[in-house]
Amino acid sequence: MTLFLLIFALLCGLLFLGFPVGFGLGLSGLVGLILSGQPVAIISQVLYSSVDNFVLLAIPLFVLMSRILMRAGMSDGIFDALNTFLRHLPGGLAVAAVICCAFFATISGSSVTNAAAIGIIAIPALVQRGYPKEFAAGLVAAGGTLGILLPPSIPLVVYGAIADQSVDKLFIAGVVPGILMTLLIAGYAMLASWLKGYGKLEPRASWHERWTALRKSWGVLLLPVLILGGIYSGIFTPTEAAAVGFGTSLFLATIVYRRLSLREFWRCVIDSVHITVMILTIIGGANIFAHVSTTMQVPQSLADGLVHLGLNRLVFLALASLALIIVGDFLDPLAAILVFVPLLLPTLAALQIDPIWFGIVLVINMELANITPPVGLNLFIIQAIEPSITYAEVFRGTVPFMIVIVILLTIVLLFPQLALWLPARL
Amino acid sequence: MQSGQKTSFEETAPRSGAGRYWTAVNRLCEACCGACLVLIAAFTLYEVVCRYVFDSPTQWTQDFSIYLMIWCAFLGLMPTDIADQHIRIDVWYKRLSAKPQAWLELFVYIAMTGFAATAAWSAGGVVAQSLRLGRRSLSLIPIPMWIPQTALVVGLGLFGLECIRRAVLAAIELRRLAR
Repeated sequence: MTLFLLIFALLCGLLFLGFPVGFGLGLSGLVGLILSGQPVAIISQVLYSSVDNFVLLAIPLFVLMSRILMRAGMSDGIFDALNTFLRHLPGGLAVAAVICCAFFATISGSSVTNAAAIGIIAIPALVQRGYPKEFAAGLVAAGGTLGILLPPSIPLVVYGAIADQSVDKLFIAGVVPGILMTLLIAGYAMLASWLKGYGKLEPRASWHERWTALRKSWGVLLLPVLILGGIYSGIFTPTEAAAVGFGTSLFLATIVYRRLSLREFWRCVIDSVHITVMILTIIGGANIFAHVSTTMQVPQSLADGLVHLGLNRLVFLALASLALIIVGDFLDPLAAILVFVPLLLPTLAALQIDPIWFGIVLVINMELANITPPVGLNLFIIQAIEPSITYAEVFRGTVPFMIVIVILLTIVLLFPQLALWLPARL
Repeated sequence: MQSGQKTSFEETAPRSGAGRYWTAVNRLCEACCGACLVLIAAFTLYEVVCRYVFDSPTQWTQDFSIYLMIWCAFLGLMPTDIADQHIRIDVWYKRLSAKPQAWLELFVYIAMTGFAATAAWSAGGVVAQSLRLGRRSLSLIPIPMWIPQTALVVGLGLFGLECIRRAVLAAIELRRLAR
């Protein structure tokens, strides 16, 4: 255990020094192998088997699909359509932005992509219509995190692969908490707008105007039906659904909406290569680290220790959530999942915690980490989109929404059926 | 979070000699990875079409797609580093002045060279063993295992060379700052 703590400290040090996360994990794992006298030659086998996984094929395909939709600017049609339904209500545009985040979440699978795609259109529109910059930035940063809770979700694909859980079940487990979170964020946005007088009320749109806006974005509106409907009707695996989603979004962007040239498509492909390689490098590095911790029997010792303490599962989950939020604030969320899930799996089994439920709790924690400094990815994305807003302003704007997410986390911890009811019916 | 440092390849690559070849190698790797990604999507779509339209599922698309992903993952290490897309926590790094940044950069890339060299050497052993024993995949279409395994040697080898290049650039930067 002492040696493991030393390696863990080394990992923290390397990440603190600015090591790329995947290589920081890999290198500290390599040092662990050397110090524990294990054969170093095993690292190539661990790296190879990290990528040799059909489930992980969904990642590049979901990334590719979301890059195409983002580059072709397909989210603006949905935002405009939602705005025609909600603009006459207090906070209507803010609610439209949240629902747009939830909708795009059912296509993108990533928190950062979601925040970027919606932020580009929603933040300027919100600010222009009288919403404070901080509020607009916080709203989209928090709404963007829905990308990893509502299906499809790349972190849930990764969790499914390492925890050996059905990705279909994990995806559907995120639906009720995801809808609940959408309602909570939208509810807060509406309440704050009404109480503080944010945003100008606009005249109610006619049904003709609404129909015209809906018609313009029909193709994108069909995508979640195709992807999620395909998975849950048993027609596609998540990987196949991602490929079908990619094919459909390419067809829509190039043929139907004519918003994507061949050159832009190739740019999307190269961007997707970079993102995919970055994710797979983190997975590879984390697997080396996890291999070392497993051979040192750290997960088992941790499980024995925690069970010996007599913790019940709710206390354990609350403590694990606290630890994950703290760790997620300093570590990339994907790396946090990859490092900690293998450590916690034996404890989950010992305390009879449903791994599907834990997956959802984990993702909600990672949502919080995504909007918490210093490593809140969504905060960086929003600041990059709207450089006139400082990092501190973006963070201040997200604070009320962090409280909303903590409320959601508490609800899901207290009522596991929210996450488990739908998978039980699959 | 993202590195986004000054040392992006376009700014740091020498404009003549070996630098041009290196740029070409990077572009080639990037293009190969892009082709792998497009092929993965095409194969997976083809499988869906074969299964539902022609009622005749294929026996090879899944394995081929995984092997393509393996090649993409390792061959893409160098282009992803050159594009500064490997995620890193640079909140503290950015607060340092130029000299400590260059020292840190030198340390990071020397350490990563060591990691890449060890992993490539280890993968070389695995490939040699697969060739010697004639190992094939256990799938319906047996593929010689050295084909996907070579991706580790090539990808990690090229990435190691890129790390050396970045370390040299950091050393040059340190020398310039010392003057």
